[in-house]
Amino acid sequence: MPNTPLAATTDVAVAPVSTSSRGTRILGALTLVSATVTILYSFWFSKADVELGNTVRILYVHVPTVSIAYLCMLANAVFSGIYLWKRTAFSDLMASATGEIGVLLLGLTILAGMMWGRPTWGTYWEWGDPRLTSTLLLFLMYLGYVTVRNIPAPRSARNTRSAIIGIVSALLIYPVRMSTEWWGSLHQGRTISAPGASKIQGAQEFALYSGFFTFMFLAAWLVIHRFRVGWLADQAEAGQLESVIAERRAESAGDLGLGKVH
Amino acid sequence: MLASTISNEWAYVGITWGATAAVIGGYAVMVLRRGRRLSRQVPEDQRRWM
Amino acid sequence: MVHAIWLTFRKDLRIEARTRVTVNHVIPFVLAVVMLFAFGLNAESTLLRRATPGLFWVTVLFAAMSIVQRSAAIDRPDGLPDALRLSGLSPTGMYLGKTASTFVQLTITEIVLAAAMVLMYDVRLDGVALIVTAIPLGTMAIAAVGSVYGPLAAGLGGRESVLPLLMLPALAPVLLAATNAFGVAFGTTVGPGWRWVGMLGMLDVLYVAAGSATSAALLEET
Repeated sequence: MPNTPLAATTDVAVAPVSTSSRGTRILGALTLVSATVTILYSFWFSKADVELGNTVRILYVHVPTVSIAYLCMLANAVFSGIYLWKRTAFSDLMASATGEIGVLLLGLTILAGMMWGRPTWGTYWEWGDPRLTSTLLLFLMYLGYVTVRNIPAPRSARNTRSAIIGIVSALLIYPVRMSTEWWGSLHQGRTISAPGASKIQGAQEFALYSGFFTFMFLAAWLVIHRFRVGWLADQAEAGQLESVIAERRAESAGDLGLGKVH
Repeated sequence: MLASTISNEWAYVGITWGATAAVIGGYAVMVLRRGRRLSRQVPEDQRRWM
Repeated sequence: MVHAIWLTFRKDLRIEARTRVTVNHVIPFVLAVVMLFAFGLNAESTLLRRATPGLFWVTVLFAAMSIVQRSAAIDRPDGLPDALRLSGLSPTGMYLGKTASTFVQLTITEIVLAAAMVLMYDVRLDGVALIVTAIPLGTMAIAAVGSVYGPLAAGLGGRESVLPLLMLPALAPVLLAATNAFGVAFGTTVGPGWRWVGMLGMLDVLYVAAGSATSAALLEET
């Protein structure tokens, strides 16, 4: 029921018909500028690596996505914990937004890892590599989080369940990494590894840092929008529930035909 | 693939960057659209958390 | 709390003793899996022997799905969740009791499975001490996770099939540690087997702590 269709054009209004605000527009602009710089430095200003050739350009996406994904999972754990303690809608919606965006970034990390592995190791997947294996495991764990989160349920039950999964999953991040590392050391896979930060210099280093900022801005922008969508979805559901209850009440009061006009 | 090592490398670089842009772009569009659709269903004073 | 642990433990096992779901459904299932692996790996005895550590724990994980699902389902009938909430028993105690009863049922299943594998896959055991320690530690980890995710999934009303998606990735470190400890004991892999046992112990502590900490919230909402 769009009661005021004019509100769509005047976005300075208190509640526009979208999830954007001045904050998100600034963040969005920062993301675009930063992305342009990253692309220029990744393809134009930086040279191919001596050892890795052009595949080093994959790392300008791979390394930032995985770092920001871990940051998202950390935020998810913190907000899940706060939810079980304070039970606020804010912490729940923040946990859900960071969880979903974390999964998205983990998925992209795995894809970039596979695309990097093929030309450097000669295979898309290397089970002996703890980074790939542990990322896959975390991806599946947080996919479970997002899946349960999206199952329709009474709100407080849904929130509590996803918070529990968020906390259990976060506790596993370290053991997952440690077990895949020990396991990988048994298999002695190919020994070529991504060059450490110390080996990457100059324009390459700048591309990497610029990538970090790009994905940081991007993730913040996405989290805010996703948070607002989550809020709206809950409000819309509550509104529907209210109108159904009102209808029932009108029916039972016996004034059928008087109270409700569709 | 018949191409030389150099252009071969570029294919993997291209897939990575292309897929990343497509997935994030697609997700962003999905979120923004859903936000617009839901905003219309929610009374004005309840649209924002704060 | 000890009271709550004991009550839940006894209740769950008494229900199992009367209905015999684990004995009648899960044990034949693991025997079928023993047969299927032999068919799937073309009955190659060297391959089967080498793969036994992994096959054992993968089978245990699958069997655990059924046991955990069942163990959560017995608390679902009408009004029972409310009755448990109102019972005044410690939620952590109930969680630990459920973990203990799942542990017992899984251990029984594992004994049958291990016997079948030793007899039918021609397994030679070198490090019995390692195996006897790894089994209870690995089982404990599975039971501890199952008693969180089992009731959680059971409360989803018709969407319980999400349980494996939740449990299997969370238990993957257990599979890695337990399989490698077994591998060392069977002589199929080399390396420090006790270090993996140590990891199993660490995982046990972590899972039980996580389950205890979230038990009150879990009881409230399922």
